[in-house]
Amino acid sequence: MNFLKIISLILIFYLYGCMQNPPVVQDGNGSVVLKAVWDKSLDSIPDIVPLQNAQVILSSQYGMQVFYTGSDGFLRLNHLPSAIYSISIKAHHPVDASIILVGAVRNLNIVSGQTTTPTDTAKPVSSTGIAINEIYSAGPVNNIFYIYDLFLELYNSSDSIKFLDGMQVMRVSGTDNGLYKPGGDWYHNGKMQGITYIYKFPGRPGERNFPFNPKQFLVLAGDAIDHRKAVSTSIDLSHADWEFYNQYMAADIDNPNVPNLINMRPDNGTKFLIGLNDDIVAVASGVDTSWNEGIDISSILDAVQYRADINLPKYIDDRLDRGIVQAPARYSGKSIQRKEPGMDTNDGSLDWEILSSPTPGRQ
Amino acid sequence: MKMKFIFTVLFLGFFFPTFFSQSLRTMSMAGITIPLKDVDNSCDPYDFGGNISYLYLDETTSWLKINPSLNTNWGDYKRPYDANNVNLYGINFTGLKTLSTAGTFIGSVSYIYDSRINVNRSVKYNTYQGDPFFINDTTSGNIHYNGPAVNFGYSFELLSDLYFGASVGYKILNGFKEIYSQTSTVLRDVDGSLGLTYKLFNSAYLSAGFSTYNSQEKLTIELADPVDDEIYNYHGDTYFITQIGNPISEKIKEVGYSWNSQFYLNPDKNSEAGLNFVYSNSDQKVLLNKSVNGNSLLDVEDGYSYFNEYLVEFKGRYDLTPDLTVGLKGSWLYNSCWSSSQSFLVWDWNTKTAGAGIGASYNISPFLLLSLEYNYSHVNADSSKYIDDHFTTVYSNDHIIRIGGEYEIFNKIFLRAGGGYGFIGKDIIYGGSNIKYFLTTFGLGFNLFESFSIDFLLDYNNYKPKQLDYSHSLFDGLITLKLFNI
Repeated sequence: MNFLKIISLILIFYLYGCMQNPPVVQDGNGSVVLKAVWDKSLDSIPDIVPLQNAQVILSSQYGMQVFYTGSDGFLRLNHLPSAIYSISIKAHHPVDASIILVGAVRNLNIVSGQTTTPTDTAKPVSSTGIAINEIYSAGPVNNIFYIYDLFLELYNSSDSIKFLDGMQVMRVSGTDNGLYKPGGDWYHNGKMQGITYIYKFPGRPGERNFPFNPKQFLVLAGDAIDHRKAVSTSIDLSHADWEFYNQYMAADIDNPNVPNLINMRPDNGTKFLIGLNDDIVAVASGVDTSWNEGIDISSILDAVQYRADINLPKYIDDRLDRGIVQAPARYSGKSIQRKEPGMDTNDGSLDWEILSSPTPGRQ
Repeated sequence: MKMKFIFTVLFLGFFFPTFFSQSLRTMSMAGITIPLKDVDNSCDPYDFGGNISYLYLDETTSWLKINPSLNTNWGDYKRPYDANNVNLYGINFTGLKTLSTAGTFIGSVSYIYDSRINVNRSVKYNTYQGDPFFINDTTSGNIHYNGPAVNFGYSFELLSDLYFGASVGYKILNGFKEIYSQTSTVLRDVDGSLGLTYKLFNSAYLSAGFSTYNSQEKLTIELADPVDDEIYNYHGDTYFITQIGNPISEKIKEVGYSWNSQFYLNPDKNSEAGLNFVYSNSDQKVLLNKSVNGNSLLDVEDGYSYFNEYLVEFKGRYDLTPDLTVGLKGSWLYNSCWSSSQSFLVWDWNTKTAGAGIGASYNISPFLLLSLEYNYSHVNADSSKYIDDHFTTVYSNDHIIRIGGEYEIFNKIFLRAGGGYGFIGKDIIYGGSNIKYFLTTFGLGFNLFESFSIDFLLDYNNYKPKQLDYSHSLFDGLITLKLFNI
């Protein structure tokens, strides 16, 4: 019978000794009381007021949710899962509709069972000029790996006419034998390195032949043709405003009705393409033409790094953008676009969103 | 957890027939188990509790069983990520060899083909186990699994009146989703058990057993073409993490332990009683490959689930007269499981199921046996889906009555049939209320020859919520060819 006692003791020990207790803190019980304000002062004396009915975008590993602040400028949210969140707020200026008030709170750790009370102070963003507004490079839904219907869309968010003469559009994906990553200031000389493609508008900076009107969208097509003839799920870019044309390539497609951006690199005989879901693109004023030494960061009007896996590292210099844009899947037919035309807070992770289908020439 | 228990029994006990499968004879008679006497339906630690150590005492002759099987289930009364239709085709060979005083050996080899038609989004093998970690893509598609399973067991008398047994099993399944994500699955399962039985006195035995299993489901979402997949790792019903890439790989690892103990009393040929106690726990991890700051991290834990289960059951049978046998059964099952992610409690489930059953079988004539069984169960379930802010408490009173019979139409040729009708107050598996349950079975047995017998089974089950025009049906077809004295 001693044997049975031993068995019983082992059994009891096991039953009570090996049971695991659940975590004490229950998920889904995080709370946020967000105070959205902006400084409406016109002088050096702050005049902080609530930001009413502002759009609030809550981003985390679980995706994005959109809310609005109340008339008191507060947004109260309960039952949030624990995660690291980013919050961006956006509202139109109450007096000048051309001014957008934007703000952001990054790396906000919302913990279940606790209430987090961030204050997001919005700042006016207006007339910043030319920005990349939409990028479509994922390719249409297809099974023949058709990737040629790419386009970039520029937007002039200023109130003045800009001129495209001599401006440059770049793909930045080169590395220095793996030592340096694209989009960085490798030699600490204020220049962005890693330029693989560089195309330019006709003319030179300072000339005034190619106006870019306020609040205008410009579509720069890889090939300005109706791509639906090749793949039915693709798009029509035959009416694009500009077309990338590589004059050093034997037979690049050229729509005679669409003006061209031309290749600045004689050593590059390939078609203008950008990564389907991972790349850096930039637009520069064109004052620095020595691309092989890097392009002056001060001359870059806008730059965006997009990646499907945003857990991968960011390469682009912080002075150009402080975030990575979440890119859609390859061959998904989706594009990325700024949430508000031309709105550039210098943080791509907050400014951009994925569109289920591209919208060339419009928001 | 009740779901998990039911599906575990369903898959391991039926479609991968192990050593403890119920005989086709009783299954053909509406699945009646309480009052029916059968060589595979006694109250002993092997038949009732699955304790391998009692095999030596339970089986006294050598045999080989060949079991081809077909199971299919379909219907629109289903859960969001279920398949429209599941077809399982299996073949199982089980051989038992008695080695006199040296012991008894049993071995089985199975192969199944598991075809799931129009699985809605889920790419997991066991989508509903009571954990909140669903792994989905964006499409409905067919998933086909196939693979072998082997089991070996051995039991012998270790010391006087002390019997020892051990078994091991190995199963591997390969699966593939035909469209979109083209997820390929490798499911590997290793299990083992040890048992001891001690003869307390002439008519009483006490057994104890330990079993463990280790399983891994590896999902590889890799497209041959340079396109991306999108996979959604759900944490609960609402929130999910999106993974975009090619390839994407994930693993689900599960380790489980189980202690069991049986007491068996068999004072004479006219009566027997068994008590079975099982405690089991298991944990399951969902592991992802992630990259952080450019460094690839393998097997990062995305979710953790812990399952606990207690089962106490009793079954007794007594011959009131040479022709009338009555039986009684009682059970209590407690399941508790919780799931967490990043040290936060995501879901918490508890179910308590108390069951009781009573039955009688009567030999109306030397050629006709009739049997009746009634089962009642009461289920209490508490579900706390913290992350979804959804809390429910349900209880259900379930009643099932079965009637079955066996008629010897010719010498040693048996016709078997049965039917059942039940009412389930609240179906905690599929979510419906006031479920009507209907069962019909049909079987044939040919015991014409000295060297072999053949049994056939067809059964049909249907579940239908009272207020809905949906139903779920199951159909099984099985054959057992049993060769004796091999």
